[in-house]
Amino acid sequence: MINDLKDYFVFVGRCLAKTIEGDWRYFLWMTALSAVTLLGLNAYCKQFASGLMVTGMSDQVSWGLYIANFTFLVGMAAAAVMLVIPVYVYKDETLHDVVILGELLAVAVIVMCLLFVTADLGRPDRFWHMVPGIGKFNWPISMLSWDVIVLNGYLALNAHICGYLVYMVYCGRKPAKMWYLPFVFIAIFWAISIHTVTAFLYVGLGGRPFWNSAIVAPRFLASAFTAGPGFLILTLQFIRRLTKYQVSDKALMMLRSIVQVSMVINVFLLFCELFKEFYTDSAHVASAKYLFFGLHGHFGLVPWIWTAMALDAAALILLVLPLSKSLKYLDLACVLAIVGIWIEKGMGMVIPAFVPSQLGEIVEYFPTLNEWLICGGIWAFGLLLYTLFLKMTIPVLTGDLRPAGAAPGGPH
Amino acid sequence: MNDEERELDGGSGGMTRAAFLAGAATSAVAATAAALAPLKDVTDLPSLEEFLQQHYKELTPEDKAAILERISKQVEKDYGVRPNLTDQPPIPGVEFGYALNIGRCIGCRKCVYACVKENNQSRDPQLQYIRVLKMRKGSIDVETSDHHYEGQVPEEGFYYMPVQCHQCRKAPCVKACPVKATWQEPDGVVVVDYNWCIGCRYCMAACPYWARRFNFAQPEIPAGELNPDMGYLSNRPRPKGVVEKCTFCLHRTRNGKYPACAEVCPTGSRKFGNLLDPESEVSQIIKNKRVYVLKEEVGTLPRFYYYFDL
Amino acid sequence: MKRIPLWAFGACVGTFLLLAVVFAADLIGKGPGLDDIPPLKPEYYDTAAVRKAPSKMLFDGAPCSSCHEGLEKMTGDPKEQGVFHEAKKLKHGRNQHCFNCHHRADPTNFADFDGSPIKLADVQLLCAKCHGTIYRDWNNGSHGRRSGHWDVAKGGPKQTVCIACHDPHWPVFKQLEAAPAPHTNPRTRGPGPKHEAAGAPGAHGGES
Repeated sequence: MINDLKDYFVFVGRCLAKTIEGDWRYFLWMTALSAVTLLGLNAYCKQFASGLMVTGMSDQVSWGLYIANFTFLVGMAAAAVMLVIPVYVYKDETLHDVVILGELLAVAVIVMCLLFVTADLGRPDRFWHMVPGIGKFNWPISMLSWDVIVLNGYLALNAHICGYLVYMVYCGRKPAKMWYLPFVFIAIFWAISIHTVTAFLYVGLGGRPFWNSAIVAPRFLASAFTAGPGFLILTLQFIRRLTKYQVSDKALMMLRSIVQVSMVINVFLLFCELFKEFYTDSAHVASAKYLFFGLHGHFGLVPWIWTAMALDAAALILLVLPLSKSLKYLDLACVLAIVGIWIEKGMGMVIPAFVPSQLGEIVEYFPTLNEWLICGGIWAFGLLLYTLFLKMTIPVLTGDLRPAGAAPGGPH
Repeated sequence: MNDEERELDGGSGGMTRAAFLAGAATSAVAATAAALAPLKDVTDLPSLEEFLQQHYKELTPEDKAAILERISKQVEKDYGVRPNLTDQPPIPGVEFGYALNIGRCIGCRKCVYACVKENNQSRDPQLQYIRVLKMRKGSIDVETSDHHYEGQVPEEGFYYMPVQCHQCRKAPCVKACPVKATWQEPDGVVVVDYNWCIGCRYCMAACPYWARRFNFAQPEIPAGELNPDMGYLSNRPRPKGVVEKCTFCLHRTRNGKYPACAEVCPTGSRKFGNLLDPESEVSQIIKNKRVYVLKEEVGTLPRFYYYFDL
Repeated sequence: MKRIPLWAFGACVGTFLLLAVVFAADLIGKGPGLDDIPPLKPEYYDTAAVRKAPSKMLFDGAPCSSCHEGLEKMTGDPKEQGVFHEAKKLKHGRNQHCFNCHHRADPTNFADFDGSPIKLADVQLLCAKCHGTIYRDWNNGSHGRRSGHWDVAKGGPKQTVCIACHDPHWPVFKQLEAAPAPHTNPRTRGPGPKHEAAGAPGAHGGES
């Protein structure tokens, strides 16, 4: 037992040591990410000292960029499940080698989610009030308390699955099914749940007609399963270019099919929502009108949403055309889809519900520089974390990192 | 490897990785230390007792007494006034209700400022619990309302609709709070424990009446204007980063008085009393007048009624 | 082992040191600050009634008896008889005649239906002659100002008499200057158009 533990720590230590190996490209990449992270940290210190007055939020628009990014990222995290399902449910081995990379992404992204929520808190010093047992948790009534549970649970599940599988590869042992299969299947449901609960956070509010729509959860999932695997398509190509790790074109094409189908569903659901809002044309259409066309001379979000619509449309066309079987066009489509969904689901989903306010006042939201810096910092930190995770695991997966004495072997 | 790449990779003229890492780490630590500099401006870190304070409903009478004393001392230090800070319990057999005569209100906003004064709301940044909507006659669509009217009131062709917390029986804000920092008292008032709120603002998103306000900065009240009659759950000075709202002035109303907004209304449009007493003003109004609640379709069952004369 | 080129080292350390300078000198601003908001004025929250209800029947400070002696019935319309009362502006519905309210024989009192006097202290009974439903509402609290205690056990409410709010000769509520409009949060003033409220006259047909 003691020895097992010792071996495990040696493994972690050796993996960590891998993170300070690399050429100048790696170090400059890490320098750039650290620099942006520090800009965010500095901006957050300012916010901590002066309060949320350094943001563009107000009593009318009480949530802004932080929660918008949070919403988008929960989707990215949930998307890991789209790699797991084919492998473990349909026994399709195409994506087998990239499942771990998807789950590592989920871990890094959940950390970003938690950071975005923390950045949004007025009293981060009171975080312990949310810890079940010692705080006062409003569970099961508050949707936010559900979100705390599912996000942390998902983080733990994925950390366990990744940690266990990678360690088994390192040891050259066959993973024991009981130690990961149940967790994999729980994680599949859990991934759906994190995004559903995040959607319910909005859907459950009767006083916000823009959110109070049953279609929000399916929309969230569809856009998540577009943006998440889209991000992986890009990441996997970096990995196979920069490391010895083999990623087959077949795996990328399978991800393409996932992104393709999800994007079609995403756009369809968006169309359904827009039809309901604009054809009915009830008083509740005000928020959607503000978003797409501006309301009473206020056009704050109009350029954003039409950019998103254009990006979504271009991505959709590229994805359904056989053109995107070429990686160059597939990459372009993925970038367009990710940016489009980030706008549509972030700024386009969170902000308009506050405009006009519950009392019909139109107060717009303009994120401040400080707010952008904090968001940039969290994004950079997430990428930094993911880079480190990859740096630690890929030598194991390629067989370069093995217990001392064991012969270096090929990939498991 | 061609020459250019060899050049970029440092060839043999570069430095060792160890030296690189040492230099990079040192400069990164320096940058991190500098990045943390704004923290030196933090002046309102909670004391250990404050940090560890339990949820309101877990407090023993002794805990409460100690907390009231701690807050009183802090107020005395900050404002030079010894406050009369109490935590008045709800009165058994009393459920507060409010009625507002929509036909009589002239939109003078005295209620807004009486409330600010009474409840020690921040002056700058400005924070007000009551918002008066100038509505065009013939419409009840709040989207066509004007919040920023000025000058002589009432203006011909308009009516005025003040909105504040409706103390809903099915309060969406209470449901939303992840840490039970806001709850409904037995007398129907929805309160916030400013020492428990984490500032997530989910309650503000949930409220259909825009009744909740957030302290985006440290609230500021001129020392001479502080109202020293304070309740723990109502008008004691708030820290930054927490949500606050109308409490029907419970430090007044639990002592039998009218809320400040009802007391000040020059037209007598604001009516307050015990819903469980059939003789009270509000009960009489519900019985005899035409009464409506705002956004009834949201199903929040407010204790704040609008009425008009027949 | 590969060596790291010096220029990469320079870029890395340079970036961090540049950042340290930027942070130390606070070169990246905090965003919009606060506006100056004028302090509260006491009249914004003054609880006084809009007018003072007289406690005695006086005209220009003099009691009625200084001119009207005895209890002999006055005839005609005092306003047409010049001298003093003609300046009184009367704009009270269909009431065009002083003796609709004032007692013909007893100017310190008012007249009930049967000619019996109503004292100034009971002026609500006079008003109730025409405004029956309002009087009912005033009695049960749905009309008129109340102050003090809602709780009868703590002393109960203090009612405000009709003429403390309504000028009996011109009872319609006069216009007041509204207390200041809410201050627009400086953070919400973006680069876009001026942020006037929805429904402000001119914004979208507020005046139609």
